[in-house]
Amino acid sequence: MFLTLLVQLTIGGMSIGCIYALVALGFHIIYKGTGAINFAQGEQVMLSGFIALTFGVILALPLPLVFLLTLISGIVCGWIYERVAIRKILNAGHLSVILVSVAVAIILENGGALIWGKEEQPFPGFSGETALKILGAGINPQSFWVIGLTLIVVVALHLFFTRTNLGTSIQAAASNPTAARLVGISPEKVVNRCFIIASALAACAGITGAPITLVGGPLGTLLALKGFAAAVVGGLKSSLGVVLGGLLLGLLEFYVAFYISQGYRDAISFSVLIFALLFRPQGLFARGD
Amino acid sequence: MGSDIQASAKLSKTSWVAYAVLVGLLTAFPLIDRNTYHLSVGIIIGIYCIINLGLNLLLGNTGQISLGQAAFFGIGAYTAANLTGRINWASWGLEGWSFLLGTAGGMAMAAILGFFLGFLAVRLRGHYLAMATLGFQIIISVVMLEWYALTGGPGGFQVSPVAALGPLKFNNEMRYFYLTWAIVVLSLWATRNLCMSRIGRALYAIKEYEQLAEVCGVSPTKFKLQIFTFAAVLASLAGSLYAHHVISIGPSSFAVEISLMLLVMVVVGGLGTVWGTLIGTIVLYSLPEFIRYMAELEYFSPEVRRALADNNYHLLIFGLVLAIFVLFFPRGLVGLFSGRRG
Repeated sequence: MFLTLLVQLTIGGMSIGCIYALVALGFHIIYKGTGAINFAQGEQVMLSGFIALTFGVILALPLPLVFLLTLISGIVCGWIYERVAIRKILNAGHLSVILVSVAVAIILENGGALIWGKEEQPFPGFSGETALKILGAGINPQSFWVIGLTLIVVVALHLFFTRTNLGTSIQAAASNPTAARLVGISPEKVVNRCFIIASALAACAGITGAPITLVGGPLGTLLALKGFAAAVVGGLKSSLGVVLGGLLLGLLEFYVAFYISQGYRDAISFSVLIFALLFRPQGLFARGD
Repeated sequence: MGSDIQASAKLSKTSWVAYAVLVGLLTAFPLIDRNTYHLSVGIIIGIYCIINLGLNLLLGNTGQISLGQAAFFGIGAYTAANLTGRINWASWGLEGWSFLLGTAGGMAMAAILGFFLGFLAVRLRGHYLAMATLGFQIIISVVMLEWYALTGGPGGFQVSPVAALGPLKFNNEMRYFYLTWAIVVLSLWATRNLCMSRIGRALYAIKEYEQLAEVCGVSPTKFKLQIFTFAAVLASLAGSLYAHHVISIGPSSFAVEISLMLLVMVVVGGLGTVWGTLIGTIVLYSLPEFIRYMAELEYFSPEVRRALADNNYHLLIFGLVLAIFVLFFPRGLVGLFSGRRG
């Protein structure tokens, strides 16, 4: 009985934690490339969910095609977002970037509600809805898709940042912009690519998480906040840290919801955020600077 | 930067005229337009103006962002409502003063929490502060939804006695309009004087160059704490006025969307200007009212009217307006009127 509960809560917490981790990775990459926080990260996940819903449920295309189309739409959105809104004000100070990304978040949330409706909408699981029985616990099969995809994304990002030209130039621009410019790395290009990668991550989280989190509703703001909480708890500057932060937050939420209170779950997550900000702003898994 | 200071000196000469015009308009409005709905909209605008005066002091004058002002608004509303409604003030011989004491209680509560948020602001900057204040907002929203004993949960809370100051009862829209706007004008006068004083110059120094300000003996810690507390107290005062005006309060009036709306009003009006705060609040609060008015016009087809009534177009427009102003007119509406652009 105890083991069943343990498996149930742990896998549930890990799957929602992986969604937070994907959002947190988006925050991490944009922070790394620009020093800014993109408040619209959660709404971009929500938008990708809506796009997946359009291709997958309304147009009823096959799943791999839906995934590909959602990913491409995400990349295009990231490119437009950076070119139209971010490039002009990136040097005007943090406050302007915060305000513009908050504006984009409001536009996406309310524009999305206008087009696709205000209510949360279900999205079919990738491999059906029948719960898998593991040690007596009923597990949503989508959990394994989310956890698997997160693993692939983490490995792919690691390879990208260490093995590819673009990845290493982003690393270089992040650690020393002047020196990077001297060796011919364009800062505009780096910022643009960071936004594109973050949007692609949002697309992955949006479509793979959709069967678990549902699509639309108040999802965007909450995901942005929880993704950011995960990133801060883990350490905004470390990619492994933000993923661990996401997992930790997801597990914490499931255990709190079960043992303490479902209603206060979000309040507890954000208290963790505020205490993490106060006492360990560099994150649990990152070295101080 | 020089032109800024000159401009504010010029404004201070004309400000007596502006005060006189404002007070004249405010006195005349309820006498000319006795429509209770219009007066009620005027009261709500006044209430948001009070919060925004504090928020602009934070955002415009000190460069500190807060995405949690609606939380303080709610803390003021619920604290005042609980204090006036649950305590038997008559047994203390204070039945006429429950509104004043409840409001004061709400302000004290907000001051304590504002001080706590200010403590965050001292340690965090920029994005971290924005997220921390947003987190604070969500926590307070969850508490409002869940703590049934004090807030009534999602169904809300009924505020019982009418607002009164001793024998003076604010029991109709017109009287409440005068009460609200008297407080707005007082807050405006107080924040404006604060901006022009030593404190205002200290805040400006902190916003422009914190380290330099510190070297010159201006303590950012002290001033940030003071301003966060002051802004929280103003929002709480507005909350108490709101609670006694709408009578039935619920968590959605103090949700994260309201915090964002307040932010948009302040940015669009013009950061760091008290008159801009007033203009931004009036213009942006009128927008949803205007959409609601259009939804009632016979001119449009029933489909258009239903779409206008059912959707939150104003939130979408708020987002667009915020983006346009930050990108193209960072000085806000006031900057447009005075012909100077960022």
